[in-house]
Amino acid sequence: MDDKIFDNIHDVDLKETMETSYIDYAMSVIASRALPDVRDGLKPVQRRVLFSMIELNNGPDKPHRKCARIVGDTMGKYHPHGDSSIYGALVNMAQEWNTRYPLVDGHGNFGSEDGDGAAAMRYTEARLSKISMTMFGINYKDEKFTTGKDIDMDGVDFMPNFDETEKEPTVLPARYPNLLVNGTTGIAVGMATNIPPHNLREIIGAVNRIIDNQVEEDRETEIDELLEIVKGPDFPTGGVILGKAGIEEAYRTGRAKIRVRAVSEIEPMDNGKNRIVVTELPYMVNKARLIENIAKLVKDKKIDGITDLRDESSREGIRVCIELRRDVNPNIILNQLYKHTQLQDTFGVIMLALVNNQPKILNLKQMLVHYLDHQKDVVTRRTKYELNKAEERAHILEGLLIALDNIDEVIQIIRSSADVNSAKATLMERFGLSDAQAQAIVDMRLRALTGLERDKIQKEYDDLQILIGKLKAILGDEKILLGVIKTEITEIADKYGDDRRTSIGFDEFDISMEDMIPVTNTVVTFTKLGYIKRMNEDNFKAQHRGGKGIKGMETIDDDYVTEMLMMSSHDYLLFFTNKGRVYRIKAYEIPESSRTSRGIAIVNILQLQPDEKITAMIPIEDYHEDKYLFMATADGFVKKTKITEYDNIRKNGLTAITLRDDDTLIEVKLTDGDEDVIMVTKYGQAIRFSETEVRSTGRATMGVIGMNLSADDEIIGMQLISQGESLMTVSENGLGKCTLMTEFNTIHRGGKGVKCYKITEKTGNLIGAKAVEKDDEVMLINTAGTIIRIEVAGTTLLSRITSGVKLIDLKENTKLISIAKVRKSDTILAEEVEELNEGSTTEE
Amino acid sequence: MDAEQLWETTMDPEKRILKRVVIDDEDASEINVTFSTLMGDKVEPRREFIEANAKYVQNLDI
Repeated sequence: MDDKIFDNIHDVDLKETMETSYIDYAMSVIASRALPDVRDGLKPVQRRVLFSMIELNNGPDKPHRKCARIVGDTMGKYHPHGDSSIYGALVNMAQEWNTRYPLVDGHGNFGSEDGDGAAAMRYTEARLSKISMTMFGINYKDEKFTTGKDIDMDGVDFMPNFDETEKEPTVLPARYPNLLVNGTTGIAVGMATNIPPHNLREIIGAVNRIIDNQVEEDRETEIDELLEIVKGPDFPTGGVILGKAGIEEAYRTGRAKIRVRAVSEIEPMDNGKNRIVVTELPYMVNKARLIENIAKLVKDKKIDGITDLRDESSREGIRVCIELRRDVNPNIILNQLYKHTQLQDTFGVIMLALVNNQPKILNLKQMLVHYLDHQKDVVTRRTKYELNKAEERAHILEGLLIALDNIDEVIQIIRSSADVNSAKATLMERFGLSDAQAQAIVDMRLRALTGLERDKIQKEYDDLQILIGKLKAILGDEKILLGVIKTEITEIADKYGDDRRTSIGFDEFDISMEDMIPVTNTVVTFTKLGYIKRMNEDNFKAQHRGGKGIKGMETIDDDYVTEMLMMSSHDYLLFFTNKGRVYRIKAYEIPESSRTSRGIAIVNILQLQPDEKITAMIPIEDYHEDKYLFMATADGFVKKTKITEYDNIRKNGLTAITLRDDDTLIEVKLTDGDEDVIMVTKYGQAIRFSETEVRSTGRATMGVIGMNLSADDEIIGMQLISQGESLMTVSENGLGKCTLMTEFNTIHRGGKGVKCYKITEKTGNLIGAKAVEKDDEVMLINTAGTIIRIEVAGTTLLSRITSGVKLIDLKENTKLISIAKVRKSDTILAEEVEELNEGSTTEE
Repeated sequence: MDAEQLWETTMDPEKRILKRVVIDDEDASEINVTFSTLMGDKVEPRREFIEANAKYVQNLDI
C-alpha cells in the first residue's frame, strides 16, 4: 500500500503560500473585524449585535432581555465566531465610561471603571438605548416608535448571512454621525484605528455647516470652518485636553497626539495640609491601576510628599484623594504625577476607517462628507420607497374612486360575471383599469359605498397626492434633500445632545506663535516689485531735516519702496489689491529682517491671483462694531463700509471694493463714521468734506465721487482731519511744508477743492500728504531706497498756497516716493531716539 | 466535522490532498525578505505589502 499513501501531492511554493494566506488573513481582519465603516462607525460585530437586537424587537420601550439570548441570536444568525467577543462588544457599547453615547442600555453588573469585567451573560440583561434607535432611523417619541424605520424602507443594502438563510444589513442608516460621535479603537494587521469620541451637538453642527454651504452658497466647506465648530474630542470621562495644536493636527491630517489630563482640585485641609482631589480621569484609564501606580511611586520614593492615598469614589462619581504633607507644594506633586502616571495620558489619534471596504486615513472634513453622502443615499432611497408605495396606493385609490363614481355599472358587471377573473377582465376593459385596481374593486366591501367612506377615500387620495408632490420635490432637488437631512439630524441633536464634558485647556508647551512674538513697534516696507519685510523700529535714528538718510534697504534696479508703515507686530495688516480685493495677515507673519535685506516676495505670504498687485496696506488693531473703512481711489471715488464686513477674510481674500476701469485704491482709513476727510491730489488740490456725506455701503460696491479731478490729476493721499492738526505735504523733489487743517474749510464732496500746494518746477508734483501733530516724526523714502526720519517740529508751518521748503537732500536722479508717519505710542522709544540723536552723525 | 466527513475529505488515501511546501532555489534569499515583511518588527513594509496586494485577495468573507 506504500505507493498509494502519498497520492495527490500538490507542490506549493512557500513564498506564494505565505503571501496568499497572509493577505487573506490581513484583509479579513481589516475589512471585516477590526475597522469601522466610515458611514455608521460600527465594526461588523457591533452592527450584527445591534441588528439582532432590533430584530428581536428589543427596543427601549420594551423590557430588558437576557444577554445570552441576544448573543446566541447574533451568533447563530449573523456572526459565526466566539460568544465572548460578541458579548464583549455588547458590554462595551453599554459602558458609560467607554462609549460617549451608549448604544445599549444594560441591566445588572456591566463592569466598572476599576477594570472589573461584566457579569457572565447568563446574568445580565440589555436592550437598545434610545439614541441607538436612530441608528436604524427610528425616532423615538413619547416612549413609542414613530413610523418609518429607514432600515426597513430600503434605506440600506442587505446581504445574505454566512449560511444564506438570513439577510443582514451591510451598513446601518446611522442618522447621526456615529463614527466621530462615539469614536472607535481597533488593531488590525499593519494598521490600527483610534478615533476619539466627540460631542453630538458639535458634530451635527459641523454637518449642518457643510449642508448650509452647499445649499446656500453652492460651495464646498473648508476645514477651517469646521475647526471653529468642532472644538475637539469630548470624552465620556471628562478631563482636560491640553492645547489646540494636537486637535488641529488630528482634524487636518488624521494623525496626531492629544494630551489629556485629569481634573483635579487642591483642597486645603485643617492643620495646614493640602490634598489633591481628582474628579475626572483621562479616557480609558483604569482607576484602580492608577492608584496602584501612584502607591508604587510613593513606595519606591520616586515621589516625595504624599502621606495618604484614598479612593473615595461612590456611585455619585469619582473621587481620588491624595493627601500631602504640610510643607509640600501641591502643584509640584501634581506635575510629577502628570509625568509619571496616567493622570496625564496621551491619546494617539489615528482617523482610519473603511471607505468602500478599503482602509483610509481621513481628516475631519472627509469623514463628515462621507457621512453626508451616506445620509443622502439613505434618505433618497427611503424617499423613493415611500414614493413607490404612495404611488401604488394612489393608483389603487384612483381605481376605487372610478368604481365609486360608476358604482351601479360596476355592480352590474360583477353580478353578471361568472367568476372573479372574468369580472375583473370586464372591469379592466370597461374602465381602463389595471389588474391591481380591478382586484381592489372586486375586494371592496359594501361599506365603501357609504358617503363617509367615499369621503375618506377621496381625502386619502388627496393627501397622497400632496405627499407624492413633496417626495418628488425631494428627489428632484438636492437642496431640498439636504434640507430634509438637516432637519432630521438637528432634531436628533436637540433630543439627545448634551453639554461638553471634556474641557479644552491651555498647554504650557503649546505656546501659540502669537504668545512668543513680542508686541513691538515694527516698520513694514513694501516695494514696487512686491517685496515685503519688517524691521525693528530701532534701526532708524531720527534725523533733522536736510540730512541724507540711512540706507533703508537693498533694492535691485527698477525696484523701490512704495509703502512704509509703522505698526505693532500683533496688528492685522490688510492688503488691498489692484483688483479691489483684500487679504489679511498678522504683522508678525512677515519675516523680520535686517535693514539691508530685500525681504521676500509678497506672493509667498498671500495667495494672490495671477496678475494681482498690492496697491494699499492698512494696519488694523481690532474689529470694532461701529468702525468703518473709508476708501479713496486714485480717480477720486470714495467708499465707506462697516469694518465688520471685513472680519472673515480667508486665505484667498475677499472683494473689498469694485473698481472702475484703470482706477486703483489709494488709501484706506479706519473711521468711526462721522469724521472729516481730506483728499490731496498730485497737482496740489485738496478737498475737505465730512464722511457722513458718503453713505455706508456693502463690501463689493463701487462708491461715489469724492473729488472732481481735472484731467491727468490723481489722488495721492487721503487723511482724516482727526489724525493731526496740520497737513504735511511733500513733493517729489524733496520740498515740503505743514499747513494747518483749519485753513481747509469743510465743503461738500464731489467738488474740485482748493489749492493746498503751489506746484513749481523746483518742487515737482506732490507725492504724499499726512495729517501730523507737532511732535510727530515722519519717514521719507526715495527711489534709491534711502529712508530719512525727520521731525515735524522742524518743518515750517506755511499757508495753503505756498511751495514749501527743502526737507531732504536728494541725490541726482532720485525722487521722493512716499512718506509715512512714525507711531509715537512709545515714549520710551522717543527718549532713546533723543539719546541717539545727541551722539549721532548722519551716515550713508 | 463528524467522523464520516473527516474520512472522506482528509483521511481517505484515495481522496486526500497533501500540500508539500517547497522552496525554489532562486527564491531562497527572497523568502527571508517575505518573512520579515510579514512577521517582522517593522509595520510600514507590512502595510505597504497589504496595500499593494489587497486586490489579489481571494477568500474575503464579506
